[in-house]
Amino acid sequence: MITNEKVWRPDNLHDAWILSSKLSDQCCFVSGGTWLRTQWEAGTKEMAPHLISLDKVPEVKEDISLKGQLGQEEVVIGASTTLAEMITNPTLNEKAPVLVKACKNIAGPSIRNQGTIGGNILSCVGDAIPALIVLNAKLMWFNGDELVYQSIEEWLLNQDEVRDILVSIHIPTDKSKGEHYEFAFYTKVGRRESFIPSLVTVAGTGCYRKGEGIFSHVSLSVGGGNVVPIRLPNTEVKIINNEYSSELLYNVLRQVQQDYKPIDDAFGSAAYKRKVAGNLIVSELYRIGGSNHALE
Amino acid sequence: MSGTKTELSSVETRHPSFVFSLNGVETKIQTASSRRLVDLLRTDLDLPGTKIGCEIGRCGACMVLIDGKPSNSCLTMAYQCEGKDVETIEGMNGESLDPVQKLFLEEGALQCGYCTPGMVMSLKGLLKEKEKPTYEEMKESISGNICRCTGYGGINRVLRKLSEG
Ligand SMILES: Cc1cc2nc3c(=O)[nH]c(=O)nc-3n(C[C@H](O)[C@H](O)[C@H](O)COP(=O)(O)OP(=O)(O)OC[C@H]3O[C@@H](n4cnc5c(N)ncnc54)[C@H](O)[C@@H]3O)c2cc1C
Ligand code: FES
Ligand code: FES
Repeated sequence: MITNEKVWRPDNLHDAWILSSKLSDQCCFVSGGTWLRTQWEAGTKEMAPHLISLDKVPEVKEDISLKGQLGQEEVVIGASTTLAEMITNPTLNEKAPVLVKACKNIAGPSIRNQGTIGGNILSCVGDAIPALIVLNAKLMWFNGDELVYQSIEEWLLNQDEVRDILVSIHIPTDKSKGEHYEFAFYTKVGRRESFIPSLVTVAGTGCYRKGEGIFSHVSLSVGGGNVVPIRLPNTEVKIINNEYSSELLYNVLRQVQQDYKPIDDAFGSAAYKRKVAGNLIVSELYRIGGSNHALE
Repeated sequence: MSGTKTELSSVETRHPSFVFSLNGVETKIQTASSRRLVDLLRTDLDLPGTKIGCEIGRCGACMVLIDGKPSNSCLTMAYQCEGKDVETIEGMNGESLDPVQKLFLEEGALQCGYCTPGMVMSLKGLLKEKEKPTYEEMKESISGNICRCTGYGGINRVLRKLSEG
């Protein structure tokens, strides 16, 4: 295979952005290149004549760190952090284990050594996204003039026209939930145990007051396959401030089926994926509340 | 970097040059920045031990170590190797067999052998990271390596033996 594409390797954010605005639709950014290569080889995306590698841009390579004052702390992750680095990072393991679990479920070790969290997000269907949604992650972009924040949820609604550079991912670590039992879950279902694209992925965070059996602060997200992950606000409403009961579980199951609209593909029908998503969320709620309350 | 210096001009002269360590030998190659490492190895550098299968990161036949970490050479571009330490199966061509290679032979963990270099490199990567990995960790380390022949019985025995020390 002989290739003549030009690879640019700017060493700062500003130059990377200027290059991309000059080269316009003749170029694309590259982090690990694992997702791009799959698209090029599959013929779903043409290799751009100009590739702008971000491997020398220090801002996107920022080490994972805890920033901000107590009570308003956030974990900051450079967009070029590899999935393997995410998995072994002690701060992330302590503050956002659900995201670590998500990264462990992506591809195999060699892909995780090269693929980045930024690339996973920008693919719009990455398995890290449901975890980032329930963690209320914010994305920091460079738009040529300034750095701007945007919630991942908001970005997912308008992800079509990305020309900006994703610099870092910010995860708030909310201390106000401290007095409650906190839960977080992440489950990916594929056609085999590991190294498999997702059919359905669900993630959730929240609090459960054991004595009263009441749920609060619940966030839920679902994705999988080629579907852009979404949050499930209507399902969350059915749970928040409500007591654990079998009725609650049935309501949740019904609501997920209404809110989630996956598409049929060669490996699973939309109806099957809706059912799996509902069952996964209900089984997690049962695991959390069921030990306290025998199902009536 | 150590050893003899290799200079190689491939494809077109206007391409940039990249320097990296290949199996301990400093190597300079002039090639398109986006050329795949698997093509550099097999075609330009005449090192066919690294195999090519799916070409999309799914089979693991093309596994090499980059800075000690398992990497799919079909997904890696020339510029991504610059200044790095690349190890291929040919780098294990020493006087005596490496313990991982020896176990593959002893346990009959290969039939056509096409997947074997990739499997060996994945396991070598893990053993570089951890001196005594568990059976589960070893299983995970080759989760991106597919074998079409053996049914994994022999490969599984290799993992068991390695984990027993
Ligand atoms: C065999 C295989 C298995 C896989 N399995 C999974 C899986 O199980 N789950 C999963 O989620 N994914 C999977 N992937 C997809 C992919 O590898 C991952 O999503 C990975 O995290 C992508 O990261 P990357 O750095 O390689 O992205 P790249 O390929 O470099 O880039 C992806 C996209 O993001 C853009 N981009 C990258 N960085 C930036 C930035 N900083 N700012 C703006 N744009 C940017 C690129 O232009 C491109 O459009 C798999 C891929 C392969 C090859
Ligand atoms: S050829 Fe690289 S993983 Fe299959
Ligand atoms: S021995 Fe033939 S593919 Fe594994």
